[in-house]
Amino acid sequence: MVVQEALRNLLRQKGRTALTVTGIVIGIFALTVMGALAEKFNQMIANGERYFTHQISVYAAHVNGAPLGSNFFPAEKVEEIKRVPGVDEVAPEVLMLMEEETRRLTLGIPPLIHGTDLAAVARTRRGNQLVLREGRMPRPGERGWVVVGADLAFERKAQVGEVLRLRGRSFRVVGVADKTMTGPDRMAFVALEDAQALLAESQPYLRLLKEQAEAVRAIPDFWVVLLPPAIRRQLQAVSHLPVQGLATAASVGWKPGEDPEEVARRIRKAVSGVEVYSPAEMRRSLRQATLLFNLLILGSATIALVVGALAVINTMTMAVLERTREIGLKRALGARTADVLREYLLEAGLIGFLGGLAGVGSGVAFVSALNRWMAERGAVLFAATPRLELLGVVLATGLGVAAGVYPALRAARLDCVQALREE
Amino acid sequence: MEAEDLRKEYRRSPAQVVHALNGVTLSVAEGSMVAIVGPSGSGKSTLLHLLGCLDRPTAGRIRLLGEDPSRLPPGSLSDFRNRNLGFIFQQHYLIPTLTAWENVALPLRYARVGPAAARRRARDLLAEVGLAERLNHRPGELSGGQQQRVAIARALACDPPLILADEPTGELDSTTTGQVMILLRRLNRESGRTFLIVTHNPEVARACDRCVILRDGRVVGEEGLVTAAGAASPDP
Repeated sequence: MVVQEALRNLLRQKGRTALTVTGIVIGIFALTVMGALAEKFNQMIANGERYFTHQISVYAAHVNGAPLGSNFFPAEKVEEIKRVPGVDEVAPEVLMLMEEETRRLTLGIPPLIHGTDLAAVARTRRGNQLVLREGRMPRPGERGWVVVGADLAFERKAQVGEVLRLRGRSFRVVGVADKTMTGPDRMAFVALEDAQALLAESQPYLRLLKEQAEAVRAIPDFWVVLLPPAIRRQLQAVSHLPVQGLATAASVGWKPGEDPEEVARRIRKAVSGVEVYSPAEMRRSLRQATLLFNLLILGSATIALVVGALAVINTMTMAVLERTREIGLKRALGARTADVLREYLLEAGLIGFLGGLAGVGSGVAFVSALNRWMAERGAVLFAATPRLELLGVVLATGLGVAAGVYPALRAARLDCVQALREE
Repeated sequence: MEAEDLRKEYRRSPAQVVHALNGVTLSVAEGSMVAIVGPSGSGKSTLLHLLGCLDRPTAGRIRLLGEDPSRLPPGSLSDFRNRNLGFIFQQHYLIPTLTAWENVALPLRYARVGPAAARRRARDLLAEVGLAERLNHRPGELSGGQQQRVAIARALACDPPLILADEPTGELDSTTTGQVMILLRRLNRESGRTFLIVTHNPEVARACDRCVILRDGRVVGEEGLVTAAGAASPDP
């Protein structure tokens, strides 16, 4: 009966109530949309964190002036890292520019080819791998596959099952990764062996050796047998270019019970000529990025609070003024201060609740529509999570109640006789 | 109910003090129906507010049903009013958004009576005042007389021993006034409740057991002890 009465009271001044509720709807709508963006961002960062913080990343030390991918990670370093106490698995990786020369200006990381043994990487991360939006992970020993990062898939319109050309070679797209808001978004993951071949082709000297090997292999056998043994041996030696040892980075796993930070420190100390990034260092840099978005959600929540609260205070103050005699009557009939307070707070809370419900509803509808539209273009930007929806409604209701405190106190403290005399 | 040397002052400004009541002493026997009459500004409503524990006297003492309400804390005063006093006002003061039964059940809400029991009680009371068919009507859908009967039913909701009525027929025509007075009289006789009625209407005063006359904040006489002109002089 009390809730019904509160609802009917709100309907006494339909226009005014509608305007107040609209004020809250706008605030909560903004909160939902901004919050959904922040939630998606946080989810993505969490994905990125999952990807990067379950390994120690070791890169070849950067040589000034050399382009990315031309810093080779010497094979003996892999062995050196393996010998560091606490290291479990070392998976060599090839990280190279996707294009010889960047044809257009890009912000952030340029598109990269990331050659890796995903099975070995999964072992170093204890099963924590890249999260796929669609498709599948490559099978062990499979070649010619590519898993495409979210942004790259959007840019290249890459779809599972289709062919993607990388540095003149064709790769079958087996999966598209979920957005991480970090490096992997602009990466094409391929088999380590494929990447090694691409790396060999991309380096002028290695290319020369490869061409030489191909030329040697083209020499007819009957010709070769006529050559003196020393030359035959030399030709044999250059007929095959062993690219297996080529790498630019390594993903390092640690033994159970070991502290990865300590293991990273040990690698840094024991192995020279490499750059080591521990999980904590990766996490720190990723979390800095989430701060901005969380401030954004806080900012929109504050706007919602201020706009909505002012509207509720105004409406409820007017309601108290209009119903002064009723308040006096209720006091005469035995309503305590707490009863009057409760009734008016309920009414204010109801305004907030209705505004919150409509705000969250319209916000969710808006971001869903936007997500559907964006999904066709390869990027889903919003995540209207249940906790965000709950926050919107609870915040709006709490805001209504809080904003109703002043008018409700005014109502509860009215002098009974004076209130009854009010016209 | 006893009032002893009751005084009430209102300070309009530091220099201007209005003496609404100047030492009213009054005793009302249980089960009686007493009218308080007097010209406008004589202090009738002020007296009713003090006796109804809606306001506190500047000086003097009230005893209601064996208790001194001035000694009760504000929270308990609300409970005391709810349990022991029923109010009927001139303009009914029904809440327009509530139906007839919801208006009647309002004091029961503050008495913490459950909704089902409150509804039953409200239905019985509305039947008692002849409005069994108007349970779900809003005040705006009822005539003046019907609205006042809803207000009477509301005053009876918590079964209080004392009913205070401020001009209960002030807005009604003579026929409806008669009907309402018959109803009040019946309720007084059948249930033994005490009624204190502030009125300008000589017919209402005549229907009561006793008539107390106020003038300038003082009791100036009672029915039979003063001139007929004093008892029945309405406001200009």
